[in-house]
Amino acid sequence: MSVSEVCQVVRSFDSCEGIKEWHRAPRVMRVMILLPILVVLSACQRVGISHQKTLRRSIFQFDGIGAYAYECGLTGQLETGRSSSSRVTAGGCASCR
Amino acid sequence: MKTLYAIFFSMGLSAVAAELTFTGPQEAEVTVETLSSDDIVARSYSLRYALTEGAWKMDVGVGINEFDLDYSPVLFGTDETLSEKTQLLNFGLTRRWNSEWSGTVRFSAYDGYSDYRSIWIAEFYRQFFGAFPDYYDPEPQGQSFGMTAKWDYLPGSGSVALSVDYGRDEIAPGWSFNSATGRPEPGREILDTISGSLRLEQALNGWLKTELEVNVRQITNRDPRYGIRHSWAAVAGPLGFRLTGGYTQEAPSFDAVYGTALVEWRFLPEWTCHIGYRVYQDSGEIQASGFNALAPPVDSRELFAGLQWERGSLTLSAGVGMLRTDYEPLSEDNEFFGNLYRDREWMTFRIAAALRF
Repeated sequence: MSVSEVCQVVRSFDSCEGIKEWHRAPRVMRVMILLPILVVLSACQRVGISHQKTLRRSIFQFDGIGAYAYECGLTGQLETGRSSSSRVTAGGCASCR
Repeated sequence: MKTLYAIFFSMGLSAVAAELTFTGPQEAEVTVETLSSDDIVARSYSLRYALTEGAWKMDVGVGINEFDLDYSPVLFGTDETLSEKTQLLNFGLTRRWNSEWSGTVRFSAYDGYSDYRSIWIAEFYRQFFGAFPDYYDPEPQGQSFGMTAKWDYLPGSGSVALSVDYGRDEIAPGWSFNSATGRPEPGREILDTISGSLRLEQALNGWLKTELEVNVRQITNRDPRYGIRHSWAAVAGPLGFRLTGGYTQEAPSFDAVYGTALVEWRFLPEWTCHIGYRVYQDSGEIQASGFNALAPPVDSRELFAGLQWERGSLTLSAGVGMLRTDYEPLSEDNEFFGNLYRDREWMTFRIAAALRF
């Protein structure tokens, strides 16, 4: 699929009246969703075996934990709006959101 | 609760042990983290063990979080030194169906306070209402179940993972006087959370990779919280770079923007160091109950650095960071929590070891 074809699909998606949530989303959110999808779809290809070792470096492990993590996980107590797929429970207290 | 932990733990172990012999690759990991300021210290100790055997992978983790706080009220009450411990358990079982598809089920639970802030607020209520016979101490705990379906559409290069989770928390409730009875009553004590996320990873070539995660989380009586996180990572010889940006929104008025930039340098074959900078800003929490214990808008920044040593199957890493939180002034109705939501300088430490065998 070429980039222009992807853009056409995205435009038709954007004009669909049924997707009201999409239109309510702030511009920054929409750009952040569309940009990487466009890049990935236009560049989607298998990486050769010779590069697999490089891709196993910690810097590429976005969900790295323990010895392969870079940041202290406890900072999530201060920055409650950070996305964390591991934080399922609401925790905290009734008054906190 | 402890019995429940034991049941799930032993169920998982026995299910795998009954079917498999432990001959596949295994991994053990220990992590210690600290977040500390002059009056608040949070520590996390965790152990993790993972075993892969044939098409199955089992992942078990246990941990303890410790909290030490110097509670200091603004308007009334007494200074107290508070110490709490929270026990945590995680269990996951993954089945790989073929080179492209795998599925995971997981369970996690904790017994105790989930963060330092809920300890502070619970102490406030205890000092305010503790003399009334209707008052009782909170016993917070929570459990969650989840599933993930992962499609490695380009094995080794690209994958998509769809996750769904459900969690139930028994929280430290807020207390208020019932004007009709003249007695204190607790607020909501149970929160149910349903969340879903879609995560995409794609290596564009041998030195550039990107990640996109969109997620939504719905908690009892609240609007859904939508989030997106997007990262890029690249290497150039011994150097590595990573950029992450994210945005979170919840109606009617919460939003948060954050980002991280990181540079890594492999200066010797076994040694790697990194330095990074994180920024975070949100618009303040949304009132969810009668009493206002909400955090005002906060702006935080952290400069962090670390070192990693890797030799054969052993990896050691350590890191330190300096973090600053700047809160906007509190409104009149939550001045009670002025010492909880005051600007602080924090230090973060982490040390971890992983052994693959």
